[in-house]
Amino acid sequence: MFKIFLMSTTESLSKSLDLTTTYLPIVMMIVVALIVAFGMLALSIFAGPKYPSKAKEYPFECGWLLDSKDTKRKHSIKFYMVAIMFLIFDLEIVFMYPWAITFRQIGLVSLVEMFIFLSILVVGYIYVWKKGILEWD
Amino acid sequence: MVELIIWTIIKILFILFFVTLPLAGVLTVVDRRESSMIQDRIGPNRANLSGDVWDLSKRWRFLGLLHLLADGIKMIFKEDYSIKSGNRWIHTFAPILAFFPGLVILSIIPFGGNVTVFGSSTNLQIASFDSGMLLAFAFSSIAVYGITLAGWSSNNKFSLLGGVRATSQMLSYEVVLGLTLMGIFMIYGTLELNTIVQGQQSLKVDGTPDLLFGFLPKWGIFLQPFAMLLYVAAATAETKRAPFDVPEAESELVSGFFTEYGSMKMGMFLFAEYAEVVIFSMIFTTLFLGGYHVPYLYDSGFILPFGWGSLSINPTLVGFIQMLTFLLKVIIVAWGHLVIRWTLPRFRYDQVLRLGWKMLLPLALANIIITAIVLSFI
Repeated sequence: MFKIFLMSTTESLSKSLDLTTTYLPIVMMIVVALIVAFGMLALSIFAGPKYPSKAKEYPFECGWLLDSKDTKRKHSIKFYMVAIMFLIFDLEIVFMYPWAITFRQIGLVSLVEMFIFLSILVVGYIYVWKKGILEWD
Repeated sequence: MVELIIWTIIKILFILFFVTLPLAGVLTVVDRRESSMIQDRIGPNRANLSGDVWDLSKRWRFLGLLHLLADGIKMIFKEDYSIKSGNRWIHTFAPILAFFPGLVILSIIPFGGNVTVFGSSTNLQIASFDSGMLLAFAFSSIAVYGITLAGWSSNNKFSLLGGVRATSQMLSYEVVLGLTLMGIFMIYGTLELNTIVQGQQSLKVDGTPDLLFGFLPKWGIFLQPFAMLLYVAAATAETKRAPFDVPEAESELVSGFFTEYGSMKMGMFLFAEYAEVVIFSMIFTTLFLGGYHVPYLYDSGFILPFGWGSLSINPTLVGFIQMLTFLLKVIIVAWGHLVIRWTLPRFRYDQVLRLGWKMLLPLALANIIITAIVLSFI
């Protein structure tokens, strides 16, 4: 019993070590990239001169300044539709990756299965097209 | 473990500070010089090191490359004003969100074969794991947040429109990008980039080269030429450069999502664009141009097709030759990407989205289906 426990712990230990060696470089890369980005930001904040004035506080606008006080108001619904369509299609694509990788090992069966999956996707795509969501005019 | 950390630090320093950032910096100048040559102008060539020399031909100008230094110094010492009307904190940190994800993608790109230095052997790739390209997709999605938040927090209508346009454009083309590369993943059976590169030029079990029609290496560009075209279109849209530059659109939106930015913060957005060009070139080279491979050069040396003979070379030397080849390919692809920018007219916003959803998406789906049928019957 103890031996099994010991084996399982050493196994999980070696597995976690393996995970570390796999993902440690990524973490280091993220840290270095963040240091570079924060360094550039700090350079811009601390190196330049500071001459605050009233005129610089207004947002850039052509002419009528009063109208641009608040930009957080309604805007076109078409942008939201793009986001929703992205969610749907991107999820479908995520389902396709495992299929694509194992495609050559599984063979003809996976081809038929993926055609069924894709045909459902295409039906939705045609529906979206006919509904006029892909029109921007 | 210590060896791994040391190698990782060396590789990160090399690929980030000796390749990507300098190349991106040089590209900012090359972009302007190249545009001036295409448009029959002289372009920036005035920055010089020699001071007040009257004779122009005797100034040390280095082909205008010093403008890179001049631009950097100018941006650092500009006044960094912070806006009062929008959301100040998000406004300050949005450039970071737009800038760092691109650099993280570098960690999955194999920029050379296996090298041995002082008895310690390593693959010239910072991180190698099975989900490979998924990390690239994930981090390029994070860059969308930086741009959206920059546009939203500025409290400016031009910025807001630019940010919203950038979001919808990048989301639309991410779908296309994910679908076009599916064919490559199907052929090589993996998402891990080093395995894909090795799959593009390998030896058969009996030691003879694995070639297409007896002479072409099995590079992505020869196996998936159609996906290559779709990928170039989608990736150009992802980097938000002309002909897909509607988020910035100088002629209509002033400068889009970074209208309210100044000094190095604006510089970070501009620099991120060029860094993305370099990273796009690297991924393109890796997936379609055989990565670090020289045609007919294998780990042990050259093996020519049609039995024209072979030449054995020291494996470590091969590793360094491959690294230089990779950099050369990346520079050529980046140059081509700049040519695309300066020779094609801009799209209108509705045309960008129509191209993405109504043309590229069905074509990408068709590419997957055709690839699947061909693969299962050969």
